[in-house]
Amino acid sequence: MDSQPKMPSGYSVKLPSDLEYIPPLRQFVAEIARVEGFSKKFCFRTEIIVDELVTNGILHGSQDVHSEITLEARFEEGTMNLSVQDQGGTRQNLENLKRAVYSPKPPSNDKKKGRGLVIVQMLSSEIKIDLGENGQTQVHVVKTKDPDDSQAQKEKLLYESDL
Amino acid sequence: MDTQIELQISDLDNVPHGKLIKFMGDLDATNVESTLDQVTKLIKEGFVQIVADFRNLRYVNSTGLGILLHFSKTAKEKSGCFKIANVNDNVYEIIEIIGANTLLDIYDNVEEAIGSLQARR
Repeated sequence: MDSQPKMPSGYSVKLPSDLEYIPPLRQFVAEIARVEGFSKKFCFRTEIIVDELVTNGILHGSQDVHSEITLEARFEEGTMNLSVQDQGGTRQNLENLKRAVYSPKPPSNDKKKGRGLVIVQMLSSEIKIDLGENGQTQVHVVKTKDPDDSQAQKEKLLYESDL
Repeated sequence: MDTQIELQISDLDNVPHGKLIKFMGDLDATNVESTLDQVTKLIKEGFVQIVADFRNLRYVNSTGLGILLHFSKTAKEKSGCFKIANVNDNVYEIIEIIGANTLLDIYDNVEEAIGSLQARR
């Protein structure tokens, strides 16, 4: 079996700021994670993370329907790096985002919204916010493989060695 | 393109004001409004003893969870309940992360959920 280290693989997707694009996008990224050898649970969690970050970007960062959201996903050595960039919302939007990312607290039970970034926090290994030169907001997430993924990676290597 | 979720609604035998709602597909921000409208209409019509069958609900995000909590609260305010059955492991994990497992009435299967409604009478 070839023991050379695997090259990292990266993907970049730019989409209009419209919620309708999220289901195929989140399923696409989850499928890449599956092909990269991550477990079903990791892929489901990836789907949720992508969904919540892009939904948040559309609703609070790229509110103009003509604006865009950019998602980048990179997979290497059992780690997924995700980055979602929106056009940048108001100062209040940014403050809300920072509070949600760095001091996550679920909203009261009668609120219909406000739980997305709490879920992302819980499912991710690291999360941080950057600001772009032109006021864009970038949310970066790192997710390392779950214990289940060791077996999934082995099965992928065995499958590839049979080809 | 609101096609990712389908709700199948039927009567619950021997449960007055009861309805069984089968959720099929993915519940997310693209279809949360139509789901909210359909279930809210039922509750307004007086069907406040509701069992939601999640056997074929593959996926739910935070927006979807938000309306599930809303249904539970609204039904309780009208002396009813919104019970959930057959939750898959992935969906349960998301429910658990936000602590909604302590707020929602969750059952292993539909029969248990319906049985708990009949026992309330």
